[in-house]
Amino acid sequence: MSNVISGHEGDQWKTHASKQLNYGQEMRFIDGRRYRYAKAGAVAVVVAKLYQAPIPVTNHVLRTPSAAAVGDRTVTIALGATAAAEDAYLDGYLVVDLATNTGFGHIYQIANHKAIASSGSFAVPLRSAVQVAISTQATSVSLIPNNYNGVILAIATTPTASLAGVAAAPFAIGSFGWVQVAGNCMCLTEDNGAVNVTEGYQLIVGGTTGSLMPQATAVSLTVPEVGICVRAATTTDYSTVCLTRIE
Amino acid sequence: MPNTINGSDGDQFAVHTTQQLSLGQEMRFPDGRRFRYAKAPSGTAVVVAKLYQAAIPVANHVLQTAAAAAAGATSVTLTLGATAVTADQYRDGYLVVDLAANTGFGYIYQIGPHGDVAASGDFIVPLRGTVQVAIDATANSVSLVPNNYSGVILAVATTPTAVLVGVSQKPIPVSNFGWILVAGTTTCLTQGTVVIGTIVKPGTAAGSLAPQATAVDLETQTVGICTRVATTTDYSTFCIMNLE
Repeated sequence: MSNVISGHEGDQWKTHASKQLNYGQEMRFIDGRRYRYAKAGAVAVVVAKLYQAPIPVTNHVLRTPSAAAVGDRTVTIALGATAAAEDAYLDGYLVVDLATNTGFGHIYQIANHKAIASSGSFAVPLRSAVQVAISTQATSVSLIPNNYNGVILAIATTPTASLAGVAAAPFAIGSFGWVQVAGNCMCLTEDNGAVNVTEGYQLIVGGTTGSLMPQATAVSLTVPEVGICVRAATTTDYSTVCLTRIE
Repeated sequence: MPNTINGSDGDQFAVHTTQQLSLGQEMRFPDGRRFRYAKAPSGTAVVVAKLYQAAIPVANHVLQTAAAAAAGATSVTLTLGATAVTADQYRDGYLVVDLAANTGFGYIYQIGPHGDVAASGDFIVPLRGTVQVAIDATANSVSLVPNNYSGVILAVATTPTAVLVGVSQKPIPVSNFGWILVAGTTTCLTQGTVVIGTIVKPGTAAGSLAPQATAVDLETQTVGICTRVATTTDYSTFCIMNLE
């Protein structure tokens, strides 16, 4: 399959009970709208709200690996006291965070895997081979879920993960659908207290989860820009927004 | 046809008197330049090497009242305000349900080809998809939004009024069709003292690019980076990178 699907109006509303595509699969429309394939997290996805990637699990980051040689296709790490569900890291990444590990700086995509018990040993299957030997340096390797595996409503005001996109349609807990990453969409908007939602103005993550609001001095330096208002609705209604900065 | 055209140098200068592609159709060059297919408005021709923005939504076509439309319907009828719609004004554009009070809130539907509609008339808006959640007759809850590349206008100075769409590559006569650059290297009218390697934003002269300044940073879109400096009112080379 091509790395990009050419889609048409209507395709963005399709949902699947079982996974049909890789997480993050891109679908492009002629008019500039682009979508990525995502899974709903523990809460159903609702239409026209901004979603973010899942937050890395504390007990799955900065773990200690077993040594892995160049060419290996698995890296074994000891999890902390949180189980890993089956395919929780499918299409996600194993990263070597610490410069003190010989394999530092590399990121490897993770393939299908089984459930792992809390504090268990996780033989992480890689889609490609280890490029530089990974040492047993303590607390130097992390697991990062795919940005689209278990999306959650964008947290208000203070970012806690990278933004994933705006839901094109609702999809149920654990099911699959499309979030929009570029082009015109509808999204919940709110005024920011100083500036009303205004056509042509830049929008950032709002003070209500899943919403957008006009950029303002107080939050503009750390919060990512999301897009531009195309048609302003009154606060707490749904504006038309051109997504320009999610990716 | 694939949703992206692979083009080569020279293709960006093509101009059509009739619409040959969907508005917003993307064309990519190997060197990273990307273009989208656009229409010049009926009143003003597009000129070369200036920054353009989308048309501003028409006041009498937003927050209008729709007749109820069931899930699966392929058209939605709404009553216009006192401004007529010209043929295909909203082709490739969108019908949006803005208000949370309408059962169909939050959905955006692309619009197909359509004819003229008189001021204050009933517009049977043809959709390219089907209604996903029933739209009710809540007053003033549905809007028409033109395609971003339909009737592009010079980027308005200082205070943004619409999303920026790109930099023109060749003059396009009124109501004709051509390409505007949305990413990669281009020339554009320069205002002020731009500096190589630094960020530019829309200038106070319509269609120009100017150095980013603190006073306008928060509300207006950044556009790109200066690659080759020309003096003010001349044409610098920029790498456009933030439009989409």
